[in-house]
Amino acid sequence: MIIEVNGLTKKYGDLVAVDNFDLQVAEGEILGLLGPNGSGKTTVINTILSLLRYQSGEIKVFGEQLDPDRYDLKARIGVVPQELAFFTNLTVYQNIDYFCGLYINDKAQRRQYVDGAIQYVDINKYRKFLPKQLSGGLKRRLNVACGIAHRPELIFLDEPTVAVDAQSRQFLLDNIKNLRDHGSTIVYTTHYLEEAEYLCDRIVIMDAGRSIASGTANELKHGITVKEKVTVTFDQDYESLEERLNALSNVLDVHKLDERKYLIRFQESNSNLKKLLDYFSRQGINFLEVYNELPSLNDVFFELTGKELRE
Amino acid sequence: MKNLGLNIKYMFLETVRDKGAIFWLLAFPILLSTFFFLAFQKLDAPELTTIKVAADPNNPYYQILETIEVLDLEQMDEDTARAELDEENLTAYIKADGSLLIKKSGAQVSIVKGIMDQIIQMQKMQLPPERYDFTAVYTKDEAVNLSAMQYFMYTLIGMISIYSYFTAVTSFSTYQANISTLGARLSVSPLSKGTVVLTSAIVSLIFCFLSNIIALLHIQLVLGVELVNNLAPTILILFVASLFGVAFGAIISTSNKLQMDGKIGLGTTVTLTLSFFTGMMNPQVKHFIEDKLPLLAKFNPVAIVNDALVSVNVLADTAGIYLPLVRLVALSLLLFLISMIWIGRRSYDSI
Amino acid sequence: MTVYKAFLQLTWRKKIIIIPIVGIFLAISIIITVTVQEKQSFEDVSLKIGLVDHSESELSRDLISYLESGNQVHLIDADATEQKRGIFNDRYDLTMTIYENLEQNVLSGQKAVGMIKNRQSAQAYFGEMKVQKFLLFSKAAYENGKFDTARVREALTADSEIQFLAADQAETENYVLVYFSSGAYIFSLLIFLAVGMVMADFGDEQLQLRNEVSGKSKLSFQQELLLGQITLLVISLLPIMLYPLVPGGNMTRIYLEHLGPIVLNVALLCVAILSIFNFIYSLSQKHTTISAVGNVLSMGFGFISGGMVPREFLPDISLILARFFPIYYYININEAIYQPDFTWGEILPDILIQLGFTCGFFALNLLVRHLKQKQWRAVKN
Ligand SMILES: Nc1ncnc2c1ncn2[C@@H]1O[C@H](COP(=O)(O)OP(=O)(O)OP(=O)(O)O)[C@@H](O)[C@H]1O
Ligand SMILES: [Mg+2]
Repeated sequence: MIIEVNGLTKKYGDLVAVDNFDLQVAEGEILGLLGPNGSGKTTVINTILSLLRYQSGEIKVFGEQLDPDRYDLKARIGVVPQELAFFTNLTVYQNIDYFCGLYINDKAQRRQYVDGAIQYVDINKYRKFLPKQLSGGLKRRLNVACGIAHRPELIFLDEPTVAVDAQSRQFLLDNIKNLRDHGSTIVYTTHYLEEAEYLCDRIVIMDAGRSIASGTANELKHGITVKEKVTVTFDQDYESLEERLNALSNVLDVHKLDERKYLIRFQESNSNLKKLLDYFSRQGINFLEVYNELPSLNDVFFELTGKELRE
Repeated sequence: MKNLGLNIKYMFLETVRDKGAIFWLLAFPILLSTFFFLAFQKLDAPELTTIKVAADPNNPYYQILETIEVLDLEQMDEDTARAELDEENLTAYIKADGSLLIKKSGAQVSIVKGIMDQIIQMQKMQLPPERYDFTAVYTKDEAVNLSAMQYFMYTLIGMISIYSYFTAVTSFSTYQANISTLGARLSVSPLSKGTVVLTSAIVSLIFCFLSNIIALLHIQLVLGVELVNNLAPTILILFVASLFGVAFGAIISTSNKLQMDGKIGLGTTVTLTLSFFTGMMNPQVKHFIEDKLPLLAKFNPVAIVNDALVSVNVLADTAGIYLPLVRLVALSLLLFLISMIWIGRRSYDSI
Repeated sequence: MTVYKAFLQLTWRKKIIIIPIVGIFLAISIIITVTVQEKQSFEDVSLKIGLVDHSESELSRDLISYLESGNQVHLIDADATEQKRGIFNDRYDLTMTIYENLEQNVLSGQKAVGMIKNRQSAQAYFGEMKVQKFLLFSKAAYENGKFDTARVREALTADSEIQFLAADQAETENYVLVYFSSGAYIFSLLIFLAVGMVMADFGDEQLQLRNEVSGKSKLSFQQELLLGQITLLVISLLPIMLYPLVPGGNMTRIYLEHLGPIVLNVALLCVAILSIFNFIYSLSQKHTTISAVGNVLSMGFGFISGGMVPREFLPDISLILARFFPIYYYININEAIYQPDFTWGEILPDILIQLGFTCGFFALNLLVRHLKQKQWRAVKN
């Protein structure tokens, strides 16, 4: 294990930000920390990095305790903090060169790494720009470049894609996968479900400082009761429709979404749509639209917490 | 101490491109010294020439008083004299009984009173006049030419060098996780404490020293106050003063978990206090400290700088400055050492 | 009142640093008055004499004990350089070195005491006169191979009488005046430090703009903020304002007699400087900049307005420049208050000017904020 966290509890005064939290990160995987705002993702990372003191628990990085003066361990880590963090009066190139230079002594190698990082986040056009001349999204890309240029073994990325446009985001995500493929282990926090699902080998879902579930995206989705969701819009009102739908086999529950629009959730995914359509034609029920979905991570979160992750 | 060069290069660039900071670095000493110049221009009172006194011509002392050089004696009756005294055209009126009429006390009144005392006292001695040897002058004078302006300017330079802690606080605080996200980021890098302290110290020292030199040049060349008679030791003093300013900034930055505003407030207050102890607002305070708290006086950097500048440039005493300067360097190194122990590289309850 | 409350909460959080600063400022104010109080004397000037006695004879001891009455004599062992340093530092008004063979020197009419002094200062002249007189008398009273010290000592007690033109009222009121004159610098710097400190957390410009955009009008936002700042100031200045009640005696009596105008004067100064602070703050939120500006303005104008150096020593140009900052008018009022013929009418112009500073800079502050907000909206759209 690259990272092992056991029973971590961190309080800010009376506020419990992280509550008896466990985490294992294996070598070469992208681990996603998924949770809503304020769930404690950043706090977990800062505690692992020994920026923050904590009340109880045990943290091991590379199998050892990461004390503030363990420069040898820190040299193997790269961090992209959630907030922008670079020198305001140094150019894009100088910033990346500086951060890379904290880890890489050799000049030629450093130049190569810095160029690599610049390609990586696609800011080649802006090498000579000062940060204040960059747009918000470009600043975030610079922020990423500063944390990964030295090609660390272990990388923490704290919501690196906020404010980055869709195209660049895809590019960035692919490159993060690329980093993993070159042997880095990555801890990635986000509250974007799609991102977590697309990118992460394993996901830990956090809420209110606790880890409420973990596994691959598929494992998580299979772990919950809902297996399939069907949404139907009818052409008119039918009598006691909700009860009739509820009585069907496999149906977990029925939610009225709109005037004539219903969401039906099934316990098994066993040709539910076909059975449903058969039932409609038998009963002479006409519909305007019908579609089915497999459960998402949002459903996982909803089932575990009773809250929507997506607003 | 890996990559010290790289750190210094980029820290220097980061500082030198901060236009606001650079502006204040230059403007601060120039503005303050100009204000001081304006305030102390007339503080060097004119030399004592004569003292205006008056007496009635029938006054029995009139003839003796007329012979005394320092007095400028006028004939006047008491009523006129009262009016003149009130207008402060007159220092004292001597009445027929030898008593003095004055408006307010002061050195000049004391001199007149001393003269009148002497006349009365000679009567009391009951010796014949020929026993007095009025030709003998027992005192041998040496007047030193010192101006209050110079004195305050030397203090000001001491103060400005401490004020250069601004630059150092900013620089040292860059590396602290609780001050900025940049600080947090640097704290998780393998940047060693030694590199951090050396980088900040060297870069700040360059700017602080520059600021001091500018202050000196401005006072000497633009304001025209003669400060430097012995350049080499003066430069040495300024360098040591800047070194201390930087060390002071380092300790202000690292000794507490305050935010930037708190650190700056703390630094300003300490600087004000040290300047105050050096007699900036009231010279008596300096002597009070020297007498009652000699250790504080010995290690008060503003006082050390002031004294050293006076020694070298006014008293032509270069040998005497080295011990205090060594003390100041030692104090600076101690502060750097403590900063190094305290700086960053620690965990916080909250960042 | 959300803004007001938020400001007070921030103030409370900064107490760890604000309280010591206020404490130190109070201590400095007190020390200044204490040293001034010591200097008050209605009679002879008291000299600070540094004295080196190489003679150590009976005559030299007599001379020293004569000088010691009414003066501070420091017996020192210092060479000429050290003596000059003492004079330069204003530690001594003059230094004296009694040469080795004092008695022979006096009898033969030779130089007997070396003096170092700063130019022809009146103080130094007075000291020199005393030495000369003592030695003149001593030689005159020399008889039968002995100095008749008893006779000289007896004669020297004779004293001429001093009458004052009028009971010197203004002088006794000096220390309340001095306390509040040198207070100008302290008040001004304290405003920059204490208010600046709390404003730092308010300083997130975005936050302010968001506040302003989100319905809360600029004016009411600024008003609540100002109210918060004034509350903070009242709390911080309270110890300095209460101190004159502690010593009792003259100081407290005079303070209480003039309490109304004094408090008004301090209040006017504080709101005027607060207004200037807010204007500067609207231009820059950098701690180092604000602190540098605060230091330069407070110290600079404190000096050239006559807060620390008496006005008679200030050149005209200083006093003209000083008019551009509220401290000047504060000192005007402070100097008028204790006059026996003081009337409110005579300080009215100063009061109006202070209010002018307050309103003028408040308006400028609003203007800058308005312009910035426009700019910000333009960027956002
Ligand atoms: N410095 C701090 N002092 C006090 N409380 C804090 C501090 N930092 C965070 N918190 C609180 O701790 C909890 C966890 O915060 P954290 O920043 O770890 O959340 P997060 O999951 O990273 O959220 P986000 O998605 O918004 O980044 C929150 O309730 C937050 O308000
Ligand atoms: Mg976060």
